[in-house]
Amino acid sequence: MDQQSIALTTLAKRQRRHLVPDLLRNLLKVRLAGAGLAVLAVITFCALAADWISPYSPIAQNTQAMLTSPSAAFPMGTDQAGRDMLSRVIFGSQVSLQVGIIAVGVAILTGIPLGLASGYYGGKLDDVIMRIMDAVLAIPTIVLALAIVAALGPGLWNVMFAVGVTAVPGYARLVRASTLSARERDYVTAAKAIGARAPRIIFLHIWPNVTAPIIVQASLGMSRAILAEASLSFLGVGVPPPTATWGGMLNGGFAYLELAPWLSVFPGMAIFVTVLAFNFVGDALRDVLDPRLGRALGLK
Amino acid sequence: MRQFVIRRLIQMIPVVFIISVIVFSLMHLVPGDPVSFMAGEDSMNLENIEYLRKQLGLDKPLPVQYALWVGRALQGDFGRSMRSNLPISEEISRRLPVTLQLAVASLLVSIFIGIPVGIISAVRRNSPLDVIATVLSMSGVAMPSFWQAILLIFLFGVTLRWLPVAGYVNIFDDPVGGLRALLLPAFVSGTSGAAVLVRQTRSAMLEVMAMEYIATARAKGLNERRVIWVHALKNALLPVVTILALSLGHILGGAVIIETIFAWPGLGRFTVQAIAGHDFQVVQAMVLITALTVLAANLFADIMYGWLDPRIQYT
Repeated sequence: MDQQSIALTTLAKRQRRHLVPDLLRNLLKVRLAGAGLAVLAVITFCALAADWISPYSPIAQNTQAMLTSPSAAFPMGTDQAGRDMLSRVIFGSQVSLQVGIIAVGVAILTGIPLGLASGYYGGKLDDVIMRIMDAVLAIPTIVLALAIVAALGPGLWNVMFAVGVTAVPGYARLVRASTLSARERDYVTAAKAIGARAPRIIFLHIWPNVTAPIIVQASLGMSRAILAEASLSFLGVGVPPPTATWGGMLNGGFAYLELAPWLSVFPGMAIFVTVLAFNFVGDALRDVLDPRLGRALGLK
Repeated sequence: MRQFVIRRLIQMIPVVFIISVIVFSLMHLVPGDPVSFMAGEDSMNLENIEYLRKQLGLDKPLPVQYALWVGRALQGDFGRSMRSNLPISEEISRRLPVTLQLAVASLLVSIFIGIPVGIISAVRRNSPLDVIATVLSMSGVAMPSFWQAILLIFLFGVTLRWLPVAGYVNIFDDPVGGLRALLLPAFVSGTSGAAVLVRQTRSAMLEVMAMEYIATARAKGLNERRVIWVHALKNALLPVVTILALSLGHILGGAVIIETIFAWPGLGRFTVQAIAGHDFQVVQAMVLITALTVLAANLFADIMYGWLDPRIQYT
């Protein structure tokens, strides 16, 4: 065996050594994505069926049972106003999912047209749009969301709008990048040559290149939006009480940390699990939609 | 290099302008002006309201108000806080050291956790250690910082009573007390950065370890430790340094929450209090300053990148 073939065999061995653990790692990711989907199904069910499955009203106060620790009657205990924590955690899922969906919707509906226009037309328009996006990106998410809510006033819709606005630049940049690379493809040149108009080219030829990254970004964006809303509500400038929100519940419970630590455990757990689930699903989607990794997994 | 810096500075001008317009118009979206909020609390008569409006320049057309505001801000004059009636610049400089202390400490936490764990993860790829690090960094990203803070306060402050539950102590006046007060906030603020850093360091190391010069270093018989810590790390750190500079915005945003939970009299808490108290001049100033700091950090990251990697040419 000559030198070169020895080198090649060692290389092959090394690659094979990596292949099996890599596959395991990818399978684990698929498993995690499955777990994530299952968790999301449960949370969605809670949000939709909150009225039927929660044992008590999320806002009814019960002066007979204030700050009672978890028991059979109140599995997650009660808060300082005697409200059942389990019911509040269940109802909290409504706010979190709603904020996630609407905020991501706002970001997508604003970011996609901006990105398409920026990438397709280029030039001055591109400059103006991208400088505005740079400006928005320079303000940290939570600070910008705080400022917008301060300007618009608290309330569910304003929070959803504010959180959505902070995510717009991410989508605009993503769509712009995909548009730029699609614009130079032969089929776009061909479409232009036969006289297709801009809207037709954008929606028929460029759009399909944009959807995959958007789907990935959106699932990860759900978790960002849920975290942002929870932060705002925790700071007391988000969705106002008595609406049950996970962040707001942590805010209320913090004062009773020594007396009633359960108030600080369950809502936080709910946020954590939900965000983790969206991240798992998003990571898996990225792997599947990324052709290189997807093929390795045999998913494509 | 100097030309590159100058060009980047010039490129920043339109962005800074847009930021100032955004900040200014945000605070003028408010239904009713700040004076009516103040008037709401104590029953001011109309004459007083008019007088205050005039004094704050709120009777002038918006473009004029904007020009005046920018003109003064350029000189470091952001007006007065409506709550304390002190100049905002004074309020800011009083709180700056508090936030700086938090920012530096949490950067250190991020670095000392994130980089070593990332390296070990890459070197011992797919080992149990790597899996644990991956799980922890995924959890770190998904865990809301305020929940992490609450749980740690409960464990170390309330139950074990090892650390104070809240409060700020200047570390230069009282090193021991300052460090004790700093530990939890810096840890909470730093771990979320560390979670990101672990992943970045890991992937940067993996990429570098596959390079031919690493094979060369091994081939000439260097021991593995030297290969990893000298040859690989030096090159893997490039993207990591950029991410560190970019994480400043994250830390400043996080300071809003951390300082509120731990009752630290810093800039983050100042912003939250200003928003709760409808102190719009303060909100304006804080958003503007935060954004400018982030822009400066981005520029710094670009410069560092070129300085660390001589292959990058700025033309």
